[in-house]
Amino acid sequence: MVVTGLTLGLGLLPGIVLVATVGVGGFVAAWHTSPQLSTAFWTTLWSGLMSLGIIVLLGGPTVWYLTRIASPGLAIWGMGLVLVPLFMPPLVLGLVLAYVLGPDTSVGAVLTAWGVTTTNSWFALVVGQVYEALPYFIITAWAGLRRLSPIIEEAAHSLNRKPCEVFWYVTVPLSAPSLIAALAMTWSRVVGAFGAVVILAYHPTGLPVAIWIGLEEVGLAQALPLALWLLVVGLPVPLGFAIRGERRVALRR
Amino acid sequence: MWHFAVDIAKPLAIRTSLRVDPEHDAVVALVGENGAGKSTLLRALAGFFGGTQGDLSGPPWCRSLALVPQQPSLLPHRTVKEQVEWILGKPLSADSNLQDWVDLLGVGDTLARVPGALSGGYQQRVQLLRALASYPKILALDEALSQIDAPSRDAILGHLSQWAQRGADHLLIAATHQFMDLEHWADQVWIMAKGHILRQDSLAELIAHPKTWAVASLVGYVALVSTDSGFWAIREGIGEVGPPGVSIQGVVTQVRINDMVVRVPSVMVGRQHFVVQVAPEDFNVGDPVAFFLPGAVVAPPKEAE
Repeated sequence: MVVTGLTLGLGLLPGIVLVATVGVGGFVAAWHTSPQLSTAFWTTLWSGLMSLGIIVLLGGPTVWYLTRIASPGLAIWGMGLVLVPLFMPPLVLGLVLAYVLGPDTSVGAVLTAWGVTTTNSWFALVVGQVYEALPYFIITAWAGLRRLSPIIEEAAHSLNRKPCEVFWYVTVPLSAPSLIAALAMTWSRVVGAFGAVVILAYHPTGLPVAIWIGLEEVGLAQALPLALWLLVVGLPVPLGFAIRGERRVALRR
Repeated sequence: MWHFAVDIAKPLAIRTSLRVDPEHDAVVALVGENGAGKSTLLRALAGFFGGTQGDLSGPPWCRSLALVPQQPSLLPHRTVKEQVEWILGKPLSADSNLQDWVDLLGVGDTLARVPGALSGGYQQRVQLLRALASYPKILALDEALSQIDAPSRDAILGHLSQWAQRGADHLLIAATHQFMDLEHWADQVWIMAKGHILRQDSLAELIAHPKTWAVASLVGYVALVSTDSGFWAIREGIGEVGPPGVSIQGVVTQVRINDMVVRVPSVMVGRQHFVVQVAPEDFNVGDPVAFFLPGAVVAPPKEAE
């Protein structure tokens, strides 16, 4: 009980500290006074949604393959590789990405020839966010999906329901709680992505980079209201997903 | 006539060819010990290992065989009615045949509930109802009645047997390690061990002539005894002082009011103690005694393996 209180307190801490120092008035006023805030707010929101979509498109099939199709050996190695970006400092991930995507590299040159600006662009921002957050999605979704017994789906197949019907009627609802948890986790990581992003995409500036710039150029007075706004972007999605996830789980009982 | 040909290497090597005439034999009991390959054989017939198995081909969802697995396979997030209607493709109220099955299986009270709220036995009944909603030609039950209480199980088997006899090409294949479950209903028995079908015969024939201990042990014989006249599989029964049966030598271990318990040292596999009905005043514990039990000659055990 005490331990739970302490742990939950850690979650409340940023909100308490930020509201105490910035105040509700400062929070509202910052939207008008801080030149970077509104741009950074919308940049984080839209790039975050894009990254989330891309992560689902990349991570979903990967998790499916590793849990359902791949041999156990391959699955273990696959999960090992997925973990690598997780223990690397995000700053290093940014440097690695810069080495691959920089304008002087072959990959960078090809992409540039196609008209893609590989650094300081929306492309770079999204790539940085995806690289930092993808493992969180895969790990969480994998943990849930591997508990889902294929027996239930097989029985439905044997009763002449086609795979696409079984996927939408059986697999998706049953894996929903873990997918929702994975999305919440991933969103939290995406909106807070800083290390890889600051190297690869200083512009367009999202909230985490804007906080850093504000701290460097003006100081706390500039940085803290931005941090409170980051909380506004970040919190609703995990909170909403958590409530929805709980309902799903409750339904299954 | 149904023809099944299974040839798979994994997860268990099974290579067999079977023919059944459902007009004559509508209920097949697939009998074998745990791990004999019964589930694997049924899963192969259901199409989960790909390929063609005689008359059955294509992916599982195109086959006219409905497999009801041993493990719980109901959708935990849907009520009984919802998932039955999902398989049926129309409202339950629009299908009088399936409504009859709701009554026969005794699941009327479960329709509005989710599987998690049902006991194991009722989950198995619902699994049957859902399988019947797919209108299969072949219903394959993999120990799918194991948790249903014995009287209900017998009644349900009776209804399923009628279902199998009604349709010209309907076939019920029921896998079990407890042969007793299907004793009254099976028209034909497939005896399975280590991935092989050892025998495909009528139950009466298998009991009268088990031929090997491996088969005998699956159709109600309780012990393998080595005697002067060869190897005998012994049926459940009470020993008598005279024929019919096989003459067996034993040692009295317990003398009771009307009978006595005799240990048979020559038992190679199975039960060692038998009740013998004699006048007990003639015997004391430790005395040798000769008595008769019903049995059948079987091949020497090494060849039987």
